[in-house]
This record gives sequence, C-alpha cells and structure tokens, in this order.
Amino acid sequence: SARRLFQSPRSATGADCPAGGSSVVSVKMGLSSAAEIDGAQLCIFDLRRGQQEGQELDKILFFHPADCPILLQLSVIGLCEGIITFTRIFSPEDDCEVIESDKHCHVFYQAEPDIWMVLVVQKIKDNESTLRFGALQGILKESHSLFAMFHGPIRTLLDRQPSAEFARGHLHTFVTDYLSDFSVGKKLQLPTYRDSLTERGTVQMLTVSREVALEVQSLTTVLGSCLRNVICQSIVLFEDLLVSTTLPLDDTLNLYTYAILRLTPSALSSNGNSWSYLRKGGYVNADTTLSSANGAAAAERYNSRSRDTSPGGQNQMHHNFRPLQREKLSKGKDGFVAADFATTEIRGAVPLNPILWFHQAEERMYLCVYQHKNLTILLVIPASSLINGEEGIAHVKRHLLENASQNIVTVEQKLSRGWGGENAYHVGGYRYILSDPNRKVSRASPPGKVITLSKDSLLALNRLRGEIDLEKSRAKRSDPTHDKDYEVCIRAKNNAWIIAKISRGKELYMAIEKGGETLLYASTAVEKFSNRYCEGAFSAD
Amino acid sequence: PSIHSSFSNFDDDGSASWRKRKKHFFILSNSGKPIYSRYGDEHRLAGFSATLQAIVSFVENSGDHIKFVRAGKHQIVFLVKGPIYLVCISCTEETFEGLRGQLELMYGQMLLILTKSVNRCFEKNPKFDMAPLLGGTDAVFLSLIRAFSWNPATFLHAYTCLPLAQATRQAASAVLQDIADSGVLFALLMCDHKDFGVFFTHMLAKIQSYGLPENTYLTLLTPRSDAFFDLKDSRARIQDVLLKSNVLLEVQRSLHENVLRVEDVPIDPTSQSTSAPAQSSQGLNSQPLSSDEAIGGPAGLWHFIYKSVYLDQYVSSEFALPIKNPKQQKRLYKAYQKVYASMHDKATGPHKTQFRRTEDYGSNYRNMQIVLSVFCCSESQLATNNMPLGSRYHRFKSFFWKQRDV
Repeated sequence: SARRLFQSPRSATGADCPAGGSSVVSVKMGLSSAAEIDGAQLCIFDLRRGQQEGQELDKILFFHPADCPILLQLSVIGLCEGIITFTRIFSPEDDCEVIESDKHCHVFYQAEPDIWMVLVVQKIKDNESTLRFGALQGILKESHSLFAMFHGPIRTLLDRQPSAEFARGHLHTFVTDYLSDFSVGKKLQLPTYRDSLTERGTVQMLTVSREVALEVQSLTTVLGSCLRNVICQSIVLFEDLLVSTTLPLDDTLNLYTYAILRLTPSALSSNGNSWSYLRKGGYVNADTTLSSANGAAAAERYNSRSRDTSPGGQNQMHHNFRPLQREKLSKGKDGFVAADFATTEIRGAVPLNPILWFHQAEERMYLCVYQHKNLTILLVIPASSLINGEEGIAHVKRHLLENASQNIVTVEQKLSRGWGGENAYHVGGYRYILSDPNRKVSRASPPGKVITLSKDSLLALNRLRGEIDLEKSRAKRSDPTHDKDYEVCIRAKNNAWIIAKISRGKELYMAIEKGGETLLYASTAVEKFSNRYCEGAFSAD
Repeated sequence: PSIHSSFSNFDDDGSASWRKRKKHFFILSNSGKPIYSRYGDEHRLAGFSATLQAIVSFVENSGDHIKFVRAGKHQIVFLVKGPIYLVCISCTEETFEGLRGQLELMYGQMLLILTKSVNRCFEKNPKFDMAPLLGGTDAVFLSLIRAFSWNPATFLHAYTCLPLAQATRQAASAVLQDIADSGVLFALLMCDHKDFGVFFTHMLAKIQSYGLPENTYLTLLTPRSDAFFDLKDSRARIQDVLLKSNVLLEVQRSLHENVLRVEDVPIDPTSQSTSAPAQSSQGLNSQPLSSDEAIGGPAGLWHFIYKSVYLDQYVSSEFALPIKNPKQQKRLYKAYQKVYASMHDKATGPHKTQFRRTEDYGSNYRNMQIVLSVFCCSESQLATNNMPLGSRYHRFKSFFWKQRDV
C-alpha cells in the first residue's frame, strides 16, 4: 500500500548497523534524539537505484553529516522520495520544491534527471521568515554546478561505473570540501535573512572606463594566442570582481564562482590563514574510516584504485584530487596558482592543473591560473589541443610570461588606480542589490554596510524576496517568454522602506531606513537611484 | 513492488477527475479514515486518505509537525486538530497562510455541526467512522468553500455591516437585548450576509436558524439543549417588534440603495494643484469614457475595502465597471488576500503601508494605520505618480469613516 512508502525500513541489508538493535528502536520511536537532528543535513540520492526491497541503501550517493546513523539517513531519504512521488500525482511537470514543517525545512533540487539533492535545515525559532527557499536551493545548485565542472555529470559517472564507487567517492570529498565553507564548529551556518542582499549564482562585475576596457581587450587577445593555432579562453578578475570573459555565460559563472571560493588573492590568503585550519575540524576528512558512511567507505576503496575513464577521468588517476581543498592551493614563485595534490603512493605524475569539464563547450579544458597582485587570470586551454598535457601546459605558461606580462602589469596598474576600495559600490542612504538573472550578474551594497541594517528591516526584506520569488516562478510558468514587471513598496513596522522592483527582467531590492514618511518619498528615492546607477532601468516610463 | 506502483491505485478510484481540480479539501481521521472530501467519493478515497495520514504521522513520529509541501504551483497544506487531519491541495495562487486559515474555518464548520464531542468519540475508538455523521452537510461545506473565494470576510477576519440609520440600528439591537433573559447567549440579525443587529458573545455551540422575510436571518444561540420552545417565543417576539417598528423595511431599502460605489467618492479639487502631473489626472477626468476605459471612481479608483481594526468590521464598495467580470473579481480578492497575508506576517508585520503594482490588472494600493485599514484597487496609469495616491488616501479615509453610519 502507499502507506508503506513512509515506513522506515526495518532492515538495511548489506549495511553495518553500528548500534544494532537500539538504532531500529530509535527510528521506530521517532528521530527525536537531539544529537541526530541537530544541525543541517544534505543528501544526494538517485531514484533509479535501490528500488528493490532491502536495497534502499543503494540510493544514497552522499550524506552529510557522514557520521549520521544509516537508519536515519534512510528515513530522511524515504520521506523525500515519498513526497517526490506524492507531488508527482498532482504536479508531474513541476518538481517538488520544499517541505515546511514546524522545526525543519526540506529544500529539494533535481540536479539531473532522477538525481535529487535535498537540504534539511533546522529552524532556530518558530520563524520561517529567516530562511528563504531560493537562497537555500542556490547552495544545492551551486555545489552541483561546480561538481559537474570538475567531474562531469553525476549520471555519467554512474553510467560508466554502476557500482557507484567513483561517484560516491568524488561526491563525498567534493561536497564535504564545499560545505566546509559553511562550517562553524560541527554545524553548518546556512544563509538566513542577514543574507537578503546577496544572490548566489551571479557574477559581480567591475565597471571600467573605456580606456581601461581597451587595455583589457588587448590583454585578452594576447592571452587567447598562448597556444599556437588554438584560441585559449580566459577570464580576468580584479580582486573578487569580473573584468572580462571570453567564455559563455554558464561556464563563466562556474569558473568565476570557483575563483572567488579558492583562487583570488583574498581566497588564497584565507587558505594559508591559520584560522582556516581551526575551521578544519568542521568537516570530515575523506581518509577517515567510518563504516556507517557510505561515501567515506567508498572514498577509501577509490583511493586504492587507479583508473577511471569518465570525462573527468584523468583527475581520478591522481589521488586526492580535491580542487576545493583550501590547503592545497597556493601561488607559486612564478606567479601561477597551483594545487599540490602530491601525496604518498602515487603512480605517475600529478597534474598541477585541474581539468575541467565545460558543459556548454562540451569539452575538457585545462585550467591555468596566473596572478599578479590583485589581478587573477584564468586561462582555459582545450585539452584536445595538447598532445602531451604537462609539456603543453608548461609551454603555455612560458608563452604567457613572455608575451602577456607587460599587458598584465599595465592593466593591473590602471585598475588599481581606479579602484574605489571595498565600498566602491556603496550608495549612501540605500542598502540594495541589483540583479539581472538573464545575464547572471548582480551588484550589491558592500557587506560592511549591509550589517548596519536593523534586524526588522532585514527580516522584512527577506520575506519580501521570498514572496517575489514565488511571483517570479508563477509568471515564468505561465509565460516563459515574457518578463513580468512587478513593484512592491512596504513601510515596515520599524518605519523602514522595503522596496522590490522588477522591470524588464532586471531586479532591484532595497531597504531605506532613514527616509521620509510618504510613498512619494520612497518612489522618488527609487527613481533617483535608478537614473543615477541603473541607466533608468527602474524609472517610470 | 516499486514505490511508483504504490500510487498506481489512484487511477482506479476515478481520482483522475479530482486530481486536475484547482482546489481540493480533505478531512480525515488520524487513523486514515476519510471524513470529508470536496470532490470524489469518500469511500473510494480510502487509499489516498491513508497516504495523507502516513505523511502526517511520519513527520509527527520524528517529533515535528508538517505544515505544507510545495511543488511548482501546487501547495499541499496540512492542519492537525487532535484526531482530525485537514488537508488542502491547491494550485490557486493563494498564500499558505490563506489556505491554512481556510482549513481552520473548515474545522470550525465541522465543529459547528458535530461539536467538540467528536474528540471523545475518537478517544473511545480510534477507528471511528465519522463520515456518516456529516451526511447531508455537503452543501454547507461547499458554501463555505465558495465563500473563501468570494467573501473577503474569510481572510480579513472581520464581518461587514449593513448601512443603517442610527435609530433603526438601535431599535433592532434593543429588541434582541430584550430576550437576553430567556437564556439566549447570542443573537444575530443578518441580511444577505450583512448583519445589522448586536451580538453579545461568540461562537461555537448549537445554532438554530429561523427565516424572517426571505433574505433576513435571525440567529439565536443558546447553551441550553431544552430551549426550543423558548427560542420559538423569542423569535415571534422579535419578529413582531421588528415589523411594527418598520426596521425590516428600512433594512430592505438599505440593501438596495446604500451601496458604496467608487464613483461616489468625492474628488477633492484642492489636491490636484499640489501634484506636478496634475494635468494628466485632470486630462483623464475630462476625457470621454467608453465603457472599456471607464476609470471607475476618482483618480482611477476601481474598488476598495476598508477594515476597522478595533471593531473587526469592514465595508467594501461595489466593483467598478472595469472589473465587472467574475473572473477578475475573484482575482482581485486573491490579490487582496495576498497583500493582507503579507502585511500581517507574524514575524515582519504588521506593515504600516504596502504599495503593490502588478501587470495583472493595474495597481493595488494598500494602506494600513492603527485605526483603520484601507485597501484600494486603482487603474495602473495613474499609479505612476504617487502624490495623487497619497492625497487620495486622506480623502478616502474621511469618506469611508462617514459612510459607516449613513
């Protein structure tokens, strides 16, 4: 009967049950042990697997925390799968998105057909306004996009190796490393209302003068010709902002995100920072032997193997390829940022350059990272054009140093001179975020200024963004071709103006705390901002 | 058997017909027995009912309580009241708070019919089959469900009064107060869902209804189970007095004449001089209006609702010409409900003001203050300059306040 869907499996064949009988009892009684449900959980599962009775464990591809008891993992996934199936009865076209309960929020994302990621967040108070579905789902989307960039789609890994060892191994190390950025002690600190003025999944761009733009253009051209007969792609960053890109949108976003997380000067400085070593305790090292964790056990087995022919396969040849592992990345004396994945027991050479799989280009690329002061250059070389990987890369590096150095120094100087500092995009009196989802670009008040907003303002803004997210999804479903305009102005209980405006696909969210009383004041403020900083994108016609 | 096959039995019970509906209500017991279903035959819904019960209890077993599930435009909202589970499956654009409020009203309706002794029935027998007890009450539930879309009282948590002269209202109240001695707790005089009598306390016990002239209802509430003949006497007395004092005549007349129309809201000529785009609003007022372009009231006002927070009462206007179509009216109520839910969110509300503009059908302007709430809907072109709206608000405030007592 359908009810069986929601019963916890009494036995999980093929799995060690560390606590034996007592685990079964605790599941029957409910999963109410504080230690078990404390903090957030992230799981990745494949609905095409483990459909036989007793084989449910096979569904699980990843689970955080890794030391979560197996029966609890199965219970979480059982609920998720049951709700997915249930919602498909009414809504076959639209994916299940969220389960809201008093104490938890389950956020769903179907990363690939039948491969689901679910984030289970614990609510601190009985106050759902602190969490926004879109922000939480953004974490799932981002982690999957980055994973696919380094390892290719999960489904491809599974198709090539149905026993799923490599898939589980890679997911375990990658997602664990990714989550380490959110770790505070043993818990995950996920986006809340305090992050209402941020937008994951977008690029922040640097505005440059025409003169500088031309310099950048010539740099890009030089970079493009670092390999004879083949054009190399490049991304140029200044501080944490994008200056130029020759890649298509999605690939740019992925690579940019990775750069911000691990490659830019600020990211690198926090790698070597002892502070990050203190935080290391927050995540599970892939080498730990924990028999109750599917992924960790698989990671062990995978470490002792040597060959895998998946798209990112060459990465697997080299053990412990962990592009998100902070400690391994550093800038060498030659100016190139590289990852030192050398560990013991390696057979063959270790490539110091990660290999990426680009979705839009459908091609494997080598990534070469060069940094000069605050300028970071990501050079992307098609793998197919380098017959001998290592030698070819060395040649490209030489070519870059010989031919592009001058351009690089000039561009860096000019950008530094024109740099407004961390408050470059601060606008007095406003706390805002501007977003263009179609171009995946955003710009916001600097974090140092956003924290001056009161809790009430941020809560109201967060709640408003949640409402707008729902309106946007509805509009998209009913007419995907047309961007619907929308405007909301709220005078909150603390007298702050909380404003949202969507105009021709662009979005503006802002909070004005010390403002006038009337609606006229609020709309004039938006108009002024729009004319001055958005080229009138949000002004009345 | 695979997970998917567990759900295949839903094709057998004719569920395809109700699965495609926009809004569905279920009431079931905590043992999975169906009690009420808006569409479909309860008896054939046993399997689906069991699934709903399984979902709720699975989450309860983990020490939590499920609120809702969302998938695209579908929301499945849950409400647990002791041994009773209420579920709403909807792909309308209503908010979670709105749908849950509707489930609360459904539960209240069920209690009105069956009283709280149902809890005791379930305590004695968890597998108690309650559905037969609700036999014949389908029309009541359907009427309530219909009110969710058409009666703003359901989300405003307020009721509306019929405009009457003070003297008339006092006469009606007096006669109701006279019968207070006969054990009547609560008396309500209503005409077409608008009340014009006074009531003492509230809610939730046996109610007996009597009809007076066709559209007038007297509701008397008593806690005594043996009060039938006394109530009959009271009714006769009330009817006598009301007829003699011409109250009922006044009521009928008021129904037809004292309707609030947006076109009646006075235009204040002084406000126009303060706004820069004054010529645009003047220009619009002087243009000849075709029935399609009719702008309704002054400055494009199409509709308003005014709620008094202290009194929990509201008044609303008739729909102006541009929104005479029932579909548009329904959408307008939904929009009001969304704004109301937004303004009254527990964590961030109540908002002092909210202005909302969508492409759907022009502009919505809501303003709430401590004393009163005003909801207005007006045409989009004029909403772009906010000065007139701001001053309009002040005009409306005084106009509405006067309209309450004709």
